[in-house]
Amino acid sequence: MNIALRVIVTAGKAALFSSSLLVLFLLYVKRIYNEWSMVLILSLSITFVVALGMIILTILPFYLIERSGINGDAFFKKYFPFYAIVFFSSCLFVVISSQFNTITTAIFTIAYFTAMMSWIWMFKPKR
Amino acid sequence: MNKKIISLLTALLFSTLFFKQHLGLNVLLFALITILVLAILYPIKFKNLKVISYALFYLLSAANVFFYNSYLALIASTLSFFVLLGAVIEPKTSIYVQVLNGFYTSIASFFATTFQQLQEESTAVKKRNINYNYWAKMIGIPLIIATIFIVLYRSANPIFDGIIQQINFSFINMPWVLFTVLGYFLMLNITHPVKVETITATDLATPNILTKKTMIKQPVESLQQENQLAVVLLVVLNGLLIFFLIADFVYLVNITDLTAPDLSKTVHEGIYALITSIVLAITIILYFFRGNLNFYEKNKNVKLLTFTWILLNVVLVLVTSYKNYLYVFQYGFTYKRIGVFIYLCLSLIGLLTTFAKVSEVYNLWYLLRKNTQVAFLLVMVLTTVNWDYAITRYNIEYAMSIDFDYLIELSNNNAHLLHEYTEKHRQKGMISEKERINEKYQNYIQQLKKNSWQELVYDNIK
Repeated sequence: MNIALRVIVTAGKAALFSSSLLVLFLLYVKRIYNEWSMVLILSLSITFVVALGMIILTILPFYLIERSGINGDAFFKKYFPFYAIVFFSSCLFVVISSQFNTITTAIFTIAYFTAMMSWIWMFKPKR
Repeated sequence: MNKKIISLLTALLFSTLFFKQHLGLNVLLFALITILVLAILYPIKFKNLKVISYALFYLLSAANVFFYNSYLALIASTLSFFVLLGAVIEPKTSIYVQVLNGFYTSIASFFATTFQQLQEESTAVKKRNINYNYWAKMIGIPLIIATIFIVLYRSANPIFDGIIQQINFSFINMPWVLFTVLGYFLMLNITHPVKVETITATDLATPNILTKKTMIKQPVESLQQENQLAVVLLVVLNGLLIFFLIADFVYLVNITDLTAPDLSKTVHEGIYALITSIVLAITIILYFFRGNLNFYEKNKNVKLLTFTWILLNVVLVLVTSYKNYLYVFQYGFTYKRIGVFIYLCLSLIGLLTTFAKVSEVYNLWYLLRKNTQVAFLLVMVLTTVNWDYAITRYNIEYAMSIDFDYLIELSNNNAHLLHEYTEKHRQKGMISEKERINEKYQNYIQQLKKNSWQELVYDNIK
């Protein structure tokens, strides 16, 4: 799989993952029983664009710089810890700044888990 | 025992301790559980003195949350938790690498471990007993499609819709479930420690001592010039600092009666001078003693001037401490004034480690390692003090003027003390302060009564 396709597939998985969690959360908190399918479609399109943007802007540049020197596994081991630390700290900062507002906390928790899973989807070895 | 079972059990304990609870006894109990889990999973690591001492620090800081319920104790407890976890991962690394490893493990070990497992599965022969992908498809796809059809049928048939609406899942406490999942995620991370490999490996491979062999060769002339530049610069800087100290000393001798703003200005200006002076001192010293000058045969004068400059900076620290003491003696303690003392203490330690670096030919990593170690120890020591109580006690007993507004604004740790004070001084004025103190005291008593067993603090059992 070439890199462009891998990025699109990862963004697709990220969109599906985060949208499912978001809809489940909204079903519980806002009780959107009748609008959930519309929210899911809307969320899928938004999160796909956001995930694609995030991967292109924050993961891909490092990968393109390094890919000639190291493989996906070594790249993951080298950069993932820093990405995780910075991303978690940023999410935590926003959550604390919002004084643990429920919606903000949920959105940034989902964003954190999606970002971390995106790394796995992006660099997991081929079977 | 299986790590997943341990994680699940501790996650249940985690939610029992923390779900919808304030902090208190639960922090101490969680520390005990964490240490116990780590000791069971990594018994060999717990034979290391460093790991044992960090476990004790963690326990101590968590106990301080129970005793004083302060933010400082909570921060120290979190910090020592990361340090302990980092020490369990790799005891020989520097303390800042341990904090980093501990933090990384706590937030992302699950993902790193999952990736590692996928990696191993792709290289090894598939030996999995459970095909997670298969089960995800078998459960996930039918579930999603069934949900879509349920929605369609609900809008097509009102009787079907009525039946579906009668299904009630309100017995499931969703926030509790999510909180327990969070606890499980945390415990799963703790039980599968991972490290930031690049930084850990670099740290382990970096010694504290500078050696001649590792130096890039520098021409003798260039080294000579650098030595001369260092001598000239240090002579000028020493002279400047001596002049500053004399002026400061004369100022201190001549002052008779300073107002709070005067003292505040004096102390803070002293601190600004100190910050600039020490940062400059350490930077210049590190620049000159970064390499070959350490091994230059004629470096005695530079070293002497450097030691003199460090000594003068120590005097600057002492003079500023005296000014701060005057300020405290006159107007009592505040957090800011205590902060000045802490900063002065750290500056003194920074200067001493810089002295050691130059005299024993250590490198920059030595400074970083020692200073972060000392800073960590200082934080641990500082958490053992009930600051709000100590500030209040000192101010009402010794300070020449008491700022009650400030004392009332402090945490509830001084509520009993302030109440006792107002009871003893019933006849004296300060009616509005008395009312506010009483209000604070009553609120605190009410709060203590409301505390559940997880939220218990020392004041509950006094």
